[in-house]
Amino acid sequence: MSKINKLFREELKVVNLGLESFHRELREKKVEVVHINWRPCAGGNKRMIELLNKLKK
Amino acid sequence: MKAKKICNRLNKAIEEKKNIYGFIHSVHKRAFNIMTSEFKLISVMNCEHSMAPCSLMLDREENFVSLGIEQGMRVIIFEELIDIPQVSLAIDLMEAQPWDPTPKFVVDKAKRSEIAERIAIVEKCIYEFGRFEGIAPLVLRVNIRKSGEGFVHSQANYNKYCKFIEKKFLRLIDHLQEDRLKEAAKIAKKIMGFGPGLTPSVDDVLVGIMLSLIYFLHYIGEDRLEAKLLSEEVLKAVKNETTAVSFKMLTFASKGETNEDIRQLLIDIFSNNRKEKLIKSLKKVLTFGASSGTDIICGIYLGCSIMINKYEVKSDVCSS
Amino acid sequence: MFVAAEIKKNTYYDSVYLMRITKEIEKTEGVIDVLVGMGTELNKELVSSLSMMTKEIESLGPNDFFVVAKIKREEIMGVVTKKIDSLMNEKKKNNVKEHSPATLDSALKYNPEINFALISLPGEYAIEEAKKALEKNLHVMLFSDNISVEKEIELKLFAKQKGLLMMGPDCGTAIINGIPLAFANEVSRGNIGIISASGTGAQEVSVLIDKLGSGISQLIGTGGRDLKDEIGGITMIQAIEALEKDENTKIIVLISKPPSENVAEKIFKMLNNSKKNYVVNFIGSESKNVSNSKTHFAYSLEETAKMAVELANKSTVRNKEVDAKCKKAIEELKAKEKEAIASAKNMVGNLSVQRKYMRGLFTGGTLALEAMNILRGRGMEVYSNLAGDERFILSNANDSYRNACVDLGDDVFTRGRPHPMIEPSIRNERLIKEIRDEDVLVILMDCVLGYGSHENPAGEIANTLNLAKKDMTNEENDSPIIVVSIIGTNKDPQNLKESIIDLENAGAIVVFSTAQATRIVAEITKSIGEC
Repeated sequence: MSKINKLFREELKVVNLGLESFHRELREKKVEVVHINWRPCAGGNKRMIELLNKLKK
Repeated sequence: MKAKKICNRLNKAIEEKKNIYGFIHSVHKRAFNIMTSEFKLISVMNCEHSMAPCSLMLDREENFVSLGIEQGMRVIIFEELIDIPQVSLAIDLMEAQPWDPTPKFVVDKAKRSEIAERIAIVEKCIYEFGRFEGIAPLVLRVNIRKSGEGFVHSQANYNKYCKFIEKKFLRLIDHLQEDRLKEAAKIAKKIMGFGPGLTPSVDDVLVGIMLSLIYFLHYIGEDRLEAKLLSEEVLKAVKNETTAVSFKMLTFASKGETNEDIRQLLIDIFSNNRKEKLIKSLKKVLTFGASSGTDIICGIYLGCSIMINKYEVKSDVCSS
Repeated sequence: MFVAAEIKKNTYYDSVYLMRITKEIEKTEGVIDVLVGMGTELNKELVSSLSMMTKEIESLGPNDFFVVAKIKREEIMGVVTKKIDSLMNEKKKNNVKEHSPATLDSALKYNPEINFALISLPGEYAIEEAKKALEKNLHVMLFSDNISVEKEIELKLFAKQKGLLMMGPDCGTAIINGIPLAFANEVSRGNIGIISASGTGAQEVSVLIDKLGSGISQLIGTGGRDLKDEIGGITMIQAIEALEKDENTKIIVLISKPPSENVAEKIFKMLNNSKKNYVVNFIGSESKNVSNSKTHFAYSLEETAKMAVELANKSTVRNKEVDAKCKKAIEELKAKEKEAIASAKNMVGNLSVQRKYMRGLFTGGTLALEAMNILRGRGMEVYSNLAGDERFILSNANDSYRNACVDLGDDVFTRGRPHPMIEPSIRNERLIKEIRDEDVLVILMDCVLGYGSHENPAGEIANTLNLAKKDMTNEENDSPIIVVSIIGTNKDPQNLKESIIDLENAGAIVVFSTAQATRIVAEITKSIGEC
C-alpha cells in the first residue's frame, strides 16, 4: 500500500513548526500534536551562524 | 542566547584552545554544567545566580530544564560561541564581560577589636536564618568560641549525620587548632563526600574553612603557607571521593576563590563595611541551596573562630 | 525492619529537591527513617551503620544518587518504593510536560508515531525543516511561502521519491482524515475527495458540499504553483493516484488556476484511464476537449460543488433521503438568491444616480478571481490587482478605479502585516474608504470562517458597517449596497447563524457562494444600465 494511502488509514499525529495558533486549534480538536519550540540556529545571529557553519566543515 | 559575564580564566582558555569538546554533565532550572574532555566543569548560569569561577552567566532568566537540555548532550565550544546542537541552542560569548575569580582581599580592614564582634554576628545569623539539615548543628556545638550568650536554637538539633561524623570532625578541629595540618588534611580526606546534598554537607564546611583561613591570614598579614598546605593535602586525593560539582568548589576554595555572593560576604566580614551590609550578605548566602549556604558559612565561622583563638593566644594584645 | 531503596546513576538533583524528597518520604506512614544523598564512601557508611544498606547502594559512586527508607512493615514496601519512584521521576515528567522540544529530532524521540509535519516557519528556514521531515518519513504540509520554484521542485521530487505527500509550499488548506489543517472548515465526512492548488477555492467547495448534504473524504492541497510547467503537477498527480486507490473516495474534484499545456495533458491522460468521476475546475479556463464521460467541467466553485454532490449521490446506492436533502438545499439557495436580488433592486431605487460602480474586497485570491471572471464574462470592465488582462491592472492597489475587484491577501497588502483572513483591519480600513466613495453602488466581500481564520470575521465586517453608518454625512440610506458571501459551516468554531444575523442586522445581503454573490452584483449593476 502506498504511504499516502497508509496515512489515510492511520490516526493523524502531527508535529507543528511555526504558528502557535495552528497547534492550539489542533489541540482543541483533540488531535495528537507536538509543537516545536523552534529556534533559528543561533537565534538568527548571522555572525554565529557563520561560525557554526565553519564548525560543521 | 547571550552571555553577560564570563570568568576571565575560562575566557582565556577558550581563546587559546579554539575547539573544546564536552557534554552536558547536569541540568537544573537555573544552571547547567558542561564537562569538557579535559575534565573541567564549566557552569552556565542564568542571571538569577551568583557569578562563580569557571562559569558564565547569561543575560536573562532562562529555565534550562524546559529548554530541553539533557545530560549527555554534546557540547562544542568554538571561538566565541558554545553550541548545543541537539537542542538547537547556541550561546554567544562575544559581549560577555570578564569576571575576575581571584580573592578580593580587603584594603579597608576592620579593626582587630571588631573582628570578634563581626564573627559573633555571623554566628547569630546562622542561628536565625540558617538551615540545619546538614552538619551545621555539629559545627555550632563545637565549643570553640564562647559567644558570651549561650544560644540554644531548637532547629540546631543534632541529626543522624551529625551523630555519625562527630568523632572524626572533632578530631579535624583539634588538628587545625594545634596546627597539625597534615593530620587535619588526612581527616578531611576521610570525611569528604559525607552528608546530604548535591554538594555534600562536609564538603561545604571544608570550603568555608579553607576560604576563611586564606582570607583571615591575609587580613592579619601572615604568610598564607598554612592555608596552602591544608588545601594541597586536601586536594591530593579528593577527586574521586566526592561529586564533580563539589570537587570543583573545593578546588577553587583551596585558592581562596568562590562565587560572588560568598566573596562579598568574606569582604564584609573583614572590612569596615557597615554591619547591616554584613547581615545582608549573610542572609543571601544562608538561604542558598538546601543547607549548602549554611554549611559554607558554618565553615567560615569555624575557620575564623579557630584563627581568632590562635592569634589571640599568640599575642596578648586583644584590642588595638 | 525492612528497607526500600531506589538509586539513579549519574544523576543530579539540586539540593532543594533532595530535601523535598526526604521530607515527603519521612512523612509517609510506616517510614521510620530516610537517607537521601550522593553515593560517596562515607554516605554509604552511614547507610550501613543505620542498617539500611542494599546491594545496589553498595555499588554506587560519588556521582550516583540514592534514596533509602527504613520501614516498619513489609507490606508497605511497595507503597514506599512507588512513592520514592514517583518523586524521583516527577521532576522528569514535569520537565517533559513543560518543555516543548526544540528540534524535530527531539520531538520524534518522545513521539515516534508522528506521521505528519505542519510547517509555517519563515521561508528560508522552512525548506530545511521540510527536508528533515521528509527524511524522517513524515508527510508534509508546507504553509510557508517565499520559497523559490527550484526549492519547490527539489522538495516535491524528494517527497515523490519517498512516496510522501508534500503539500505546498504556499499550501494554506487541507483536510486529512477529517481533520482541518491550517485554514480549513469543519465539514462532514463523505466520499468526495478534493485536490486543490487554491486554498480558499477548496474551502468554498468543501463548505458547499457540506451544505448540500454530502461530505469530504480527503482534501489535499498542492500549493499554488503545482500545475505550472516547471513543477509539472507532481503533487496533484501523486494525490490523484492516492485517491484513485482510496476506497472511501468515489468522486474527485480538481481545483486550480489553469495548468500549463503539458501538465494539463498529463492530467487528462490520467483521468482518461480512470473509472472514477472527476469534476474539474481550472478557474477561468475554457472548456477542454476531453473524450471522457467521467470527466466533468465546472466553471464556478458553486457549480463544482453541485456537480460533485450530484455525482456522489448517483454513485451511492440510490438513497432517496440524501438526494432529497441535496435538492432541498439547492432550492433553498435559489430562493435565497431570488430574495436577495429583489431586496437589492429595491435598495437601488433609493440611491443617488451618481452611484454606479462595484467594488470587490476579497480576502481569498481565488474568490476574487472567480468574481472578476464572472463579471468580465458578462461584459463588465473590471479593474484588479490580480494578474490577468494588462489593460485592467490597478495602477495602485490601494486605490480602486471604476469597477474593481481587489485581492487584499496580495503581497502589497501583507508585507509586514498578517493576512486579512487573520487580521481584518486591512479590509476594515478599505471598506470604510469604499463606503465613503460616492461613486460606489455595491460592495462585494467574502467572509471566510473556519480554523485559522479570525475568531469573528462577520462581526468585524458588521462592526465596520455600523461604524460607517454612524459617520454618515450624506443622507441616510444613500450608501453602497453590501453583499457578503459567507463561507462556513454550522460546525465551524465561529457561530455561523450569529454571523449571518450580525451581517444582516448591519444591512448586508448575505449569500453562500462567490458565484451567487457575484450574480447579485451583476443584477444590481444591470438594473442601472451599467453592464
